[in-house]
Amino acid sequence: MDALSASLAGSGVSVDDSLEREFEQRLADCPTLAYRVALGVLHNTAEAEDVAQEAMLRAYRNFNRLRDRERFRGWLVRTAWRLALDRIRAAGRRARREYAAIEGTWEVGAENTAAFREFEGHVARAVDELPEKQRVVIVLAAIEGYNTREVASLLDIPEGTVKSRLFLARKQLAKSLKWLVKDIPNR
Amino acid sequence: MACERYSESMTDLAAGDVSPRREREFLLHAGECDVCREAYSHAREVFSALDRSVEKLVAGEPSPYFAARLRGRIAEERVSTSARWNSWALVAAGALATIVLGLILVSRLSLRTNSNPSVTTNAPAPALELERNMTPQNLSRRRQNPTPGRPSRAADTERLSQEVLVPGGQLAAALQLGDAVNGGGMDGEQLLAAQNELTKKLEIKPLEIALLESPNPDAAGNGSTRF
Repeated sequence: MDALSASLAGSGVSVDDSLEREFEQRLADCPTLAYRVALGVLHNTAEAEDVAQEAMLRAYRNFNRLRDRERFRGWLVRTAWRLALDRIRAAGRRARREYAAIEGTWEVGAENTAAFREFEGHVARAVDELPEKQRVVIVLAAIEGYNTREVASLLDIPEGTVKSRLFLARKQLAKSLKWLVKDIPNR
Repeated sequence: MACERYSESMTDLAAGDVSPRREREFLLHAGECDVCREAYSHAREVFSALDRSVEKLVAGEPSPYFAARLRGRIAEERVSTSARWNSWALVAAGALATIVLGLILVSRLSLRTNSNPSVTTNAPAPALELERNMTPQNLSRRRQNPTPGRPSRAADTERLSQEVLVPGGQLAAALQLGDAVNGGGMDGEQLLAAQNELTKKLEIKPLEIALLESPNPDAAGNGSTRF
């Protein structure tokens, strides 16, 4: 992704060069954010790439309208999230479930057992069943490097609300997967 | 033998959703109860596995082609944006040219209309009546209390600017003259002749008075007249 940052930083030819440079800088600060958010919703790398591209393109088109440039990351997250949800709705919930189960899109390392892969599939489906407010919090908190304060900043909500939603989401997931408690996969 | 004491709240305990006092109580109990200790351990592992799984949901990098594709799409966006601006500029220039042409046409038409003033012939009332009503008092009253439904003052001003102003007291004559000319009742040559007549100097012929002749010269010579 550093290549993306470097290539974007070197391709600034436009009417408003300073604005373009600022956009590229903002994008370089969070190169995989839109992709990861989309991946958390779609569970498919190709679909997530499409959505991330669309989100970044929209960000490019509307960057000059963004009053507070410091909120670029939150703006990008919300755009990617909304686009990913739109794509799922367009494809149909049922189709998405089958698709996610068949594809098994999350990358599986050599050390992963079949039991853990199955467990991951269950977790993914349980995450999808969460209320949207809890779901976006748990997905963002799972992205490397984002603590509750940063998630609160991204979503423009109080940190206490993030903690509360995160807590409820984890508990809901645990309850949904309670029947797996006896067979916790060891990895 | 299963311990049912904390089975219902095991998830809350593992998630940390209990008061510190209750957590302490449970930990004391778990130190003595193998069943609860194992259940708690399993529940903690479930949460740990959950967190790992959710992290894996959002882990990974886009493909190496992602950056090149995005760069291409942004470049296309720049081109299409500039093309869109160009087309808008053309449309705006066309609209501006149309407006300017329209303004020129309108101004020319209005100039032509102003250069052909005509005497108003459609007098609403007999000429004498009209003239009688055009006293200074009536005019000032009309200005102060305009009749409802009448054209506005601006319209009046515009209408008056296209009429021929006639000195006071001659409006009736002017209207009659206009009617006569327009109705064919008066010939132009006749009018010119009448005007020439008016400009001619009056010739005053000396009055010739014949001397009276007396029938009786003698009576005149006496010098005595009786009344």
